[in-house]
Amino acid sequence: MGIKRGVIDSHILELFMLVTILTLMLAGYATAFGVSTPYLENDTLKLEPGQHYTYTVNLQNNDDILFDVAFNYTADKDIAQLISGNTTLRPKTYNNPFVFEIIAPDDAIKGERYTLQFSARPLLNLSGQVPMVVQIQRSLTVLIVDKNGQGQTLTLYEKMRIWERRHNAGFMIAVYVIVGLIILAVAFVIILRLWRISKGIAGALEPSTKIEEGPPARMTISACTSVEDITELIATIPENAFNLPEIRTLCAEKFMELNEKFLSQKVFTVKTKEDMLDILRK
Amino acid sequence: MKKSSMRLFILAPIVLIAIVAAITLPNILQTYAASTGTFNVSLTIANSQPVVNYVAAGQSDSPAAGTTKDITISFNATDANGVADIDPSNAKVIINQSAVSRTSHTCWTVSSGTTQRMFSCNVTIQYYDLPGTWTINASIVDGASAYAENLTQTFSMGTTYGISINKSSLTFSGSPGDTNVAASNAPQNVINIGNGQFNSMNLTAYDIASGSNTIGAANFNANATANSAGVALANNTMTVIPGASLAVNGTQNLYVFLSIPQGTPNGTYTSVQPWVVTMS
Repeated sequence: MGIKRGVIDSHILELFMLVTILTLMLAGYATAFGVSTPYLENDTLKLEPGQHYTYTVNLQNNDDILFDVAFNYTADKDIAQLISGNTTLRPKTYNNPFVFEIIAPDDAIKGERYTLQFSARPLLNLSGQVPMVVQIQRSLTVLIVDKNGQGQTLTLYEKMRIWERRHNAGFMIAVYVIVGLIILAVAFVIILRLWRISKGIAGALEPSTKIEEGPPARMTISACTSVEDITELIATIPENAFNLPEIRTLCAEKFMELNEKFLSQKVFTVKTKEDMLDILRK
Repeated sequence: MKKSSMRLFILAPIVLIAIVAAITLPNILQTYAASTGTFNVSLTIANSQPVVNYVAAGQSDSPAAGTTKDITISFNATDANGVADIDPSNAKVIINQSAVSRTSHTCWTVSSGTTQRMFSCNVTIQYYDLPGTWTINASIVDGASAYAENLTQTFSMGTTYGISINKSSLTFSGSPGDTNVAASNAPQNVINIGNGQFNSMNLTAYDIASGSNTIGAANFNANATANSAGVALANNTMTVIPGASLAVNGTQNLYVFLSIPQGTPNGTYTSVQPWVVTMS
């Protein structure tokens, strides 16, 4: 019986000690939290207009428990944007990066200052009458300089990638659709022009406005081997009977030569017989 | 035969023999001497001074809040006497800023060549080691106790803003009408566990409630000293604590006092959410 009682006492003692330890741990628990930043003299970053800098803030959890953090920031004129950061901090971890992308505006003026302000605070479910948590609030000043900036100059491609990151997916899809449509339109115009050029000067010489159809020309010459032939042929056609497609068919070979000759001039407006004769006189 | 031709006929062989003798005799004598004499050759190779010819550049890191942290710095040491003359146990890195220095506790060989070793050394930094530029002194001592160092590179110590409070909550007790009741576990200690200093302290208070009964945050005031004439707090409002700041390796006390309004019902009152101590 005495032994049994001793065993029970031992268990009660162990339980009591465990409860006591847990109570002490909870009662004595207090937040230990840190934020580390790269060394910048007077917390000031010097950038030339258009320069880029990756600014990393490391959150540190010096406690034995896992907790989430509330991380907030504000930046003048959107000079900085948070691009990554995990708000859950595992126990005893000192490298939980929150990465800011800072870009000095292209039109920034030497001497201008922009401020990035950020704060971090553990989110804890604390007991007690007036529980307390800590918050760290810091700021970084971005000073615009005209030389010896601490950032990197971006290529156009890098600027585009950053611009993409800074806009939401819906906006980017709209931009891509519009750009796609513009590209298609431009491609269509180019193809159309190439097609017209491939048709040769015959195509180029087609009237830009509809030619009134007249009766077929009476052919008074049997051959069409020179510009003179064409000129002569056209001269014989009455004004109201001028029919360019018919002449083109008859003098196809000559029109090919004319195509080469007038290629640089591309499009002629041929409405009347005189228009055609003007071209042949050139 | 003429007399002059006769003379030439006699002298020519004599001259020829003399020339051949002049060329060959020294060689004959030398060969003879080498085969019979001895030479003592004594060659003394002097110790070559080791050189620390490379230290990794552009290194930076920040202390870990409230604790120590190892940083690793690498360098190359060269000794013309051979790599065996470069003793890893004599490799060392010291980082210095003003009067403070941190010395490596472990160095190891990363790679070895004929006359060169690359070392990496771990240096322990403290959470309160000041931010800024620290000079790296990488050194080696060879087998003949010749010393070499390289001071060309620096280490950039980042800034760690770290704080800790020693109480997770403050506790008050009193009766309606009591004024400026100090917390039973006062003060709250705000401890700097980083290497950056804070110039101001703010406290965001919240009402405390017991069921539907409330004691407004405006019934509290706070101070950096035990003087109850502190600054009045307000619900969900960040209030600057006058005179409070936090130096590196320092502690700042925070005192909070409660005046319990008359007519406050009995009960256990707790804050609707944690109060926030903001250091900036």
